[in-house]
Amino acid sequence: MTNPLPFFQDQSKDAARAFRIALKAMAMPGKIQNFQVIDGLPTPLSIAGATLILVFCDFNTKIFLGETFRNKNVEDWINFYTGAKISGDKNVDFAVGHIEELLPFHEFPIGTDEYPDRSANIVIENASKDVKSFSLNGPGIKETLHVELPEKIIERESAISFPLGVDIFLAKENFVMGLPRTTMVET
Amino acid sequence: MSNSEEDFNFAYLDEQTKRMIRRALIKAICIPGYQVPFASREMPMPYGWGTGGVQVTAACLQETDVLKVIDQGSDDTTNAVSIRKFFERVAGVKTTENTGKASVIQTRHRIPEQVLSEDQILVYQVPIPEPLRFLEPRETETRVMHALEEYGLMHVKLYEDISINGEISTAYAYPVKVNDRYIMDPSPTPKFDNPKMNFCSAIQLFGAGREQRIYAVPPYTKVISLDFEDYPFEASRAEKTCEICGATNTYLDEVVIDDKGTRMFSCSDSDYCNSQKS
Ligand SMILES: [Zn+2]
Repeated sequence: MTNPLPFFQDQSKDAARAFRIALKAMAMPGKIQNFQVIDGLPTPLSIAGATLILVFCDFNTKIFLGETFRNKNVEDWINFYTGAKISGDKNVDFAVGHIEELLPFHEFPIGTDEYPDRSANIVIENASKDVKSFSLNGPGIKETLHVELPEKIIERESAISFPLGVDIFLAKENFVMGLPRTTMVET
Repeated sequence: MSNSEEDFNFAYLDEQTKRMIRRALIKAICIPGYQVPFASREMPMPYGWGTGGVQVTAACLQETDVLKVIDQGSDDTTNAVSIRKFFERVAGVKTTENTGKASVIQTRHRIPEQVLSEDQILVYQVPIPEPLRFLEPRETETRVMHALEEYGLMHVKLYEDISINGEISTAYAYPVKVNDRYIMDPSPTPKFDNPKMNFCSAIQLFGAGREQRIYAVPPYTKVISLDFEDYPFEASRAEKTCEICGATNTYLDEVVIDDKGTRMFSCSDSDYCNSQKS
């Protein structure tokens, strides 16, 4: 990996811009935000998935990867750019994968009564596959939103008992949508 | 290349610190009103000068931002000016005094009178983040109280206030309940500002440097001031008119205007006041 960085040319400024997009995604659930396009990513990592890893992960972070993401290219890339530890189990801060590789969500940390923040951020890749229409309500949502989400997203219920829960980013190409634990998802 | 400006990382903090703060900010947004611990860094200004707010702002700022800094509603106090200059220098961002033109507003003790938008972030400087602190000084205990939603004492305290004073005398840092769950300290803003937090369009972020806490309220979130059926919350203000712009609906400061001690009421939000007079 001696080539110049194909992305985050100016790490500090690019990370700041990307963080703001991620913040907006979580602050306004159900609305699609888009990250700056970057290339040179190891398959099957999306731009959104990779950007979220770059923004939030470092050597203090443990990452769980779904089956199809567990390849040398992805692992080397994460290791090289973030130093994050790839974990074999689900006791992690961060997870990336296709939805069926991440279920059941309640196996990830959901926080404790006193520290509900000690919970995982989950990135669901390829989030436009097998979708179905859901209505969303909760903080950050002005009026009920109707959006297409992976139909298995409903299984997130088992990992949420507010204030405990997992927080989800839905990723596809350079698009991202936030689904914090506060969002009520109904069919 | 040697230029003193280049010695700083963008927005002063190193990338790892910003990542740590950003992780805390995301959790704060996902758990509205809950205080997320974070490892506060030394900033080139003393505690009490808004080091918590400054760190939150530093972790949020992007190149294209336009920053406004207010202290008690004014853009011109030493504190506001020094924070504004600091970010001009370390992040190269544009600054403004115009509320409508700002994308990030760092504030001490006020919420602007002008209604904020979805494209704005309001960063509060917080001295004491724990609303239960004066009831229970031990952090381990207040954490349990929040975990169990054990908020009865807070209501008892407010009710004692009523029995002694005939009304709830708390005028600043008046406690609120966020998203029907956590009781939160809105920072020492006057209670007049509390209703502005409810269903606000902007993202509200709170940083306490010395106490190492970050908390947040996402847009369109229920923020209700604690009260009682027989003593409903009142967003009180001085029953006067601003003597500069004539506003009757703003929060007013009483200021001394000459050496004879003559007093005058005027808007605490100086940008709002300037925009009203014409
Ligand atoms: Zn005025």
